[in-house]
Amino acid sequence: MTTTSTVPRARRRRLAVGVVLAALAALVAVLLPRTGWTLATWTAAERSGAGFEAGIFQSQSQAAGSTEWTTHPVGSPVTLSLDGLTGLAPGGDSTAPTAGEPRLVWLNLRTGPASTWSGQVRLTGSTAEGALAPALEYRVVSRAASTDRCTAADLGTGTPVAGSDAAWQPAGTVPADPVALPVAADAGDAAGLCLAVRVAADAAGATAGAGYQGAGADLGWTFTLSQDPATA
Amino acid sequence: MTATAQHVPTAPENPDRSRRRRIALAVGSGGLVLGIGAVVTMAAWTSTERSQADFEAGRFSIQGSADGSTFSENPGSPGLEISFDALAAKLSPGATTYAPYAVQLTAGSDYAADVTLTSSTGTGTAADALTYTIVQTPTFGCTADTTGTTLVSDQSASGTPGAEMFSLDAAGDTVYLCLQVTAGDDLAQGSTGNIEWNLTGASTAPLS
Repeated sequence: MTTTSTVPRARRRRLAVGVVLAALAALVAVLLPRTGWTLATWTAAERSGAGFEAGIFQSQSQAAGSTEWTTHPVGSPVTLSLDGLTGLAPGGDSTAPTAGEPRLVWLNLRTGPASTWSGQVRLTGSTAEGALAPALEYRVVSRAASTDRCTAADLGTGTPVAGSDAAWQPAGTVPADPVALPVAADAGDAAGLCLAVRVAADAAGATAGAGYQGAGADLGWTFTLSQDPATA
Repeated sequence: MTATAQHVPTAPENPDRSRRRRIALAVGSGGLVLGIGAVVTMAAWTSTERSQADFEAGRFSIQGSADGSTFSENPGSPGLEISFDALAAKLSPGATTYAPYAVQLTAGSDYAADVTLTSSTGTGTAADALTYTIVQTPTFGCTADTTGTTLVSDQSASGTPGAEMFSLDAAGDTVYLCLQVTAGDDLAQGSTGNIEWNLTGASTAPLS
């Protein structure tokens, strides 16, 4: 007895096509890695590098009350006068009051040792606190850095930094356009300053100055050292 | 006791068996003859024809130069020392230091190359505050005034930009680069760092 296939001819044809496709897929799978090899390329690495180092930039100051060169950040100021500035008084008399005699102190500013860059010092802030503060005015002039006492002559010859002989700067204020004082890198040439403080004429006299007798004030100045543009 | 020879009669041969034996011998003889004949007919003259050729792997390499004239291959770390200007030793926030760099296809290379900036590695505390830009220039040299085609811009010191930068299409073909490293605002005073650039050249078309 012979058996006859019950699978229709079309189905057998599809099966045959499927088998062929499967065989082709297997062939591709086998050949694909070889094809990949032909796509491989050589590579060559080339490395390069360099070291970099940040510079150092720091300010230092000294004054009569603290002659050692040290960094004095905000909150830790240099003391301008060892004995304090006492005995401030107006000038003139009660009927013709004038500004009082100024008290003079010196201050030097520079970059710290090993500072990489030179820079510019600017007066950027002034504070005045206490009952006497509204009666005070000041001047700042630059001179060659020195630990010598500032004199009236220095006020006359120094380059104005704040205020002028004709118009002193009210305590607690600063010039709108601060003067730049150059300082060298690496604790080089420093900027020398003389500060003068006095009782203003308009705070003197029997009426205007009555409330200031025996009063005191705490004055502070902030100088900012800015790095010169970095160049090779 | 005397031993005497005794004839033991053998059984007469079966006629059929004898006949089969003769037939077998005849067939065996014929097969032996045929076997010998077959061996003889399989023997033949042979002639060998050989061919050969020499094969040699091609060559492919890229090399760098810090001065534009002396080139060397630097596949490993730390690589070729690049000469940045003096600012590199005293960086400050916002400052940019410059260095020229040249890359060429080694003279003996048999293939052109596509060169990619595979990665860069920054080390040291200053590296985190450093970024770099790479500009392709027409000639060797790199200063603040140098202009060219920017290939990589403001890339952090450590990264894997994977940027395809340029092609080298002939042996000795040289590309000039200007490396620019800029310090950020958070650069700490006195900090130090190092940047290493890793270029990868991939062979492309064979050179004729």
